[in-house]
Amino acid sequence: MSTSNPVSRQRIEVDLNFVNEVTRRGGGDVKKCMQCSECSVVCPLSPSESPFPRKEMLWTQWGLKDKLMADPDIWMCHNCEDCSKECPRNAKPGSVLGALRSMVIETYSWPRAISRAFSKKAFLALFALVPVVLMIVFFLATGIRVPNGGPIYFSSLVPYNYLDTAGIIVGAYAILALLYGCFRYYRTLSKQKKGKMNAVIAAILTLKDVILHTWFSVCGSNRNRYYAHILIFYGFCVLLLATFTGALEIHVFGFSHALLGEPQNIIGNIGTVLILPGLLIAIINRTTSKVPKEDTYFDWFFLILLLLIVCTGFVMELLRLDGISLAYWTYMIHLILVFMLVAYFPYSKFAHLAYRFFALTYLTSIGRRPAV
Amino acid sequence: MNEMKLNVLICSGCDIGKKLDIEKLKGIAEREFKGEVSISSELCNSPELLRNVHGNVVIAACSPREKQANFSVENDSILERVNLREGIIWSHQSNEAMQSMAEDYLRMGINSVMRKSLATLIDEEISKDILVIGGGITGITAALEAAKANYNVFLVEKEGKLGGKVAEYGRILPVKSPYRDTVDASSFINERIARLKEDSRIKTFLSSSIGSISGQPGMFDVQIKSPSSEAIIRVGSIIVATGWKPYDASKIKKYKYGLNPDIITTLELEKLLKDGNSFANQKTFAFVLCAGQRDDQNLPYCSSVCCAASLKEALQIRERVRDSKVFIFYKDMRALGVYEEFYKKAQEDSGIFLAKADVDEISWNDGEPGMELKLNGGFLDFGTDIRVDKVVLATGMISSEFGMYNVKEEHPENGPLSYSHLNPYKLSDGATATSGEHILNLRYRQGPELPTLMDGFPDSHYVCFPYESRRTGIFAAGTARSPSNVATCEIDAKGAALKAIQTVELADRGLIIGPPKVGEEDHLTISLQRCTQCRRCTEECPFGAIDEDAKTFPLYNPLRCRDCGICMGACPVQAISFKQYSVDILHSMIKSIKIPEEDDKLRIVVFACENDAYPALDIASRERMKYSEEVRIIPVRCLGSVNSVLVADSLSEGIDGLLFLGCKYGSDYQCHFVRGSELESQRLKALKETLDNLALEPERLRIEQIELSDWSKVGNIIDGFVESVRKFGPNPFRGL
Repeated sequence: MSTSNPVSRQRIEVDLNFVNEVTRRGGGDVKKCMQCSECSVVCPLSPSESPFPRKEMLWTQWGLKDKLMADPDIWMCHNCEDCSKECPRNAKPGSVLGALRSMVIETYSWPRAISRAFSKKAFLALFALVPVVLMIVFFLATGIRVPNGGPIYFSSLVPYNYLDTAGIIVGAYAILALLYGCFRYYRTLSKQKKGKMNAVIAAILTLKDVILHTWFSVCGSNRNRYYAHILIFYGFCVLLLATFTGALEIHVFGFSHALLGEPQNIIGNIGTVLILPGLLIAIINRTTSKVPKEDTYFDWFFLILLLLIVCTGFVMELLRLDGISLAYWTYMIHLILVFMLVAYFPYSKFAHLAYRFFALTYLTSIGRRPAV
Repeated sequence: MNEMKLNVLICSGCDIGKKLDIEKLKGIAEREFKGEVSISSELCNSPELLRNVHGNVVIAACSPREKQANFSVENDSILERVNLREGIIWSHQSNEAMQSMAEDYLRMGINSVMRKSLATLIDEEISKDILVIGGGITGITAALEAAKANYNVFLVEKEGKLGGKVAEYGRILPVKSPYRDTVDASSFINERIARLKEDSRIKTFLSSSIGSISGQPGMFDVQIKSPSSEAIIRVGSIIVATGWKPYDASKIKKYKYGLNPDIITTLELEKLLKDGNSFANQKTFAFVLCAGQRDDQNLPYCSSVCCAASLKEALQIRERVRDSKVFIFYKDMRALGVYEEFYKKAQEDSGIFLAKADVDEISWNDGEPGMELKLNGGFLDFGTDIRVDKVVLATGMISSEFGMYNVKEEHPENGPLSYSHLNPYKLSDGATATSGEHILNLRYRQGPELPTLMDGFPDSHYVCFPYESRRTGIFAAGTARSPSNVATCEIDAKGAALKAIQTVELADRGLIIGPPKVGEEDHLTISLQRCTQCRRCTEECPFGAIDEDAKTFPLYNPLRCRDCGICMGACPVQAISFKQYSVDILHSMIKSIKIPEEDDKLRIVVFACENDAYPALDIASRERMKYSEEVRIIPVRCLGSVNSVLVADSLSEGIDGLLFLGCKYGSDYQCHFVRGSELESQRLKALKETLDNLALEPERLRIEQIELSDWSKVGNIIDGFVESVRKFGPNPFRGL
């Protein structure tokens, strides 16, 4: 009978630790699931064929790690929490999927030791210490001290050449590490089923989906999250653009230092105006939500870090205009935070941007999309 | 005809007086029947009118189902209700037609009451003692409950000790809120056994069996066989609490039970757990739920307790074996009712893994420990195997009455049974009880055990009458009645004890014991001069109330009777009649109907079962739904009480058609007397030949199945039948 079965048989090895790992990441109620499928029914994104998150709940209960770490469906979820709201057992499928996504990021990101350590709150201080130490070393090595008095130019604290060199090195590391992780993940995914569509075309379609927030807009009742995400996403993009504009101004147009009213400044302020309300909505949403949900270190690190970067960036700009030398100290904190954002990008929730993109590309290529 | 005075009380309230010519009705009663007539504009509020009438009392007012407390008469009188309100003015429109309908109904009522006679009570020496068979949790609880209500109890147990299956268990499912903690089985049952032993009202026979049971409620003579002695006791009612037996696991071939010592049943695991077994080096356990259950090849039903019981055993394994993993494969997790809480508790355990999955194959290499399970379907449907050390099969519960005697043959449309009887018992051999494997050894013409329904559980009705068996005064409780857990068994025992008490008290007053006519007092008489010993009554009585004497004449046991009249409908020579219900009474009512002279007006008789169809008509009337004015409705105790001779006579006397409204029949019957409506449908089929001889169309007879909830359709059903008869025109025998 099994010979006629095209599916190769696999031995179930139950991993007791897996459930503990999911619990640590906020999916601790997974054992309560009784497989009623209410979650899959209410989810507007879940396809009718082999729907999620019911199957993911069972696989998690059974500790079927290999299946879950090769399951692209967890990225179809955009975390509207409709499932957790309707779950009759309060098993919080939304939180379980969130935990699984963070585990995918940890599992595939390179190097594994760093990603493993980064997932633990206990190591936060250590990871924050790295940029602090680097900065101290920089000041000791160059002999630069915080200027006292006079108009404030940040380049007099950290000259652009140093800053850009450091930016390129850390950025390149982050991008390579992230892409390597995503590549490994994509390879695992695409081993399962051959895509019907060329991967490049699928990637272009997915990019369009990301730009238009197509999947997110299907997501059920929690509209505030949709607006928050769209503001944060575009705010972040605009701020990224501001950074590159700054580099352009200095290296191509030969500006000596940033001034008020120049393009970088204007773009940066637009970015701030977008991202700040987005972050505030997201934070308020999280703290006041009535939906049963586990808030995790993984989520909060992402939100708080972004908020701090935006705030320090905004404050240092005001201080600089007023000529207060406290601006330099704020700038140093800002740089430390930005380092954490960029260097730990592959291990933190920021990485979801890339992993989700690759997973959705794979899903698009095999024609698995929500019935919109 | 009885000789009593006729009193007719007509109510003109509720608009009856406005729609009908009351004076004309009064004239009919006075002129045609010499009755004394009173008219009241609010009869239900005129107790003085009722207090002064004796003899035959006809109340023409609302439906007989309404205001029964206001319209009761003394013991020296017979009451007949004529339904003017629901039956006529609420359900019809034309004044002229309603008037002729009212006149017909009044004549029918008067003719009926004058043919009734006063009921006589059964006056016999009645025992109020109660016999409980089975000393498990159900039997013990029933005995304790009955004794608490001051009734003497005899308890008969087959084994040498009390406690039944519960005494074999280690722990039992939670019995109280919050239903999360299991209970030690020994202390639970021992506490009850101790109370039982202390109770002076309870006499226990251990290592004993029932030699025979004869008689009827209030007068059961029971022969108890003990190892060294034999006793004959007289009891009033009997509770059967003989429990369950496990389904034979080796019949479920794919689970290979018996081929590997590590494939066991939940009951065997329970014993291992009770004995403190620590399972050596075994760490992984797989439970296969619904093993051979909800399965057409084995048991077609759900035993309802195995899910929760397996969770209980899984938790015990987890406590006892360090680092153990317990896999539970279910068809559906059915932790019924409050046991959902217990299910939640088991789910929390990190070493218990639950999934819907079919175990397709169990294989192992001889000499090596462990087994390989091939899973398919369900939630682990990606072609999975799993290795375990022990397999536990949750096989089902079957009633101890299973296979002893089964009425399945009455429902041939279901095809042959998908499981085999343990000891098939043939109906025709029922005259003498056999000894041996039987439990009750009833000396009833219809067989020695309780008749069982489809799944081998004794019951008389799916919905309405719990604990009732088809042997009046004998009640089934606990796992003998249906699969149950310990808590449900206790509830069952209490319910059955109440039924047993009700039985002895009703028997003491000589009243009808079984539902739905509990407390009525009309018993039947059989005219042996007419009887042709055809045995139809003894065979068709759904409750085995009629035995046979040596010459196969019927022997009526009045306290077993439930007043349905199915025997009366069955008797080909009309030898059976009740004091207040007979073929003659029904015939006189039909003869009271005035056949119209115009050819385009029909007269159709509707026999409506008083349990479901007649109440449905009442509801339809209350909703002011209209139906044909050409019908005359006659309530009957059960469709099965309508005799074929009566049907043939009605047709030969000019009735244009007869419609039978009765309960649903078949394997999911709703007939309150099990199979009255089904029997009537068979009789009507047999009548087709008679109709051919009369050159009448067979479509002039129709039987329809009505549930109470069909009230909105009942008017259409009647109208549809009237129109179909109209096609054939009036009965050619009219006026002959």
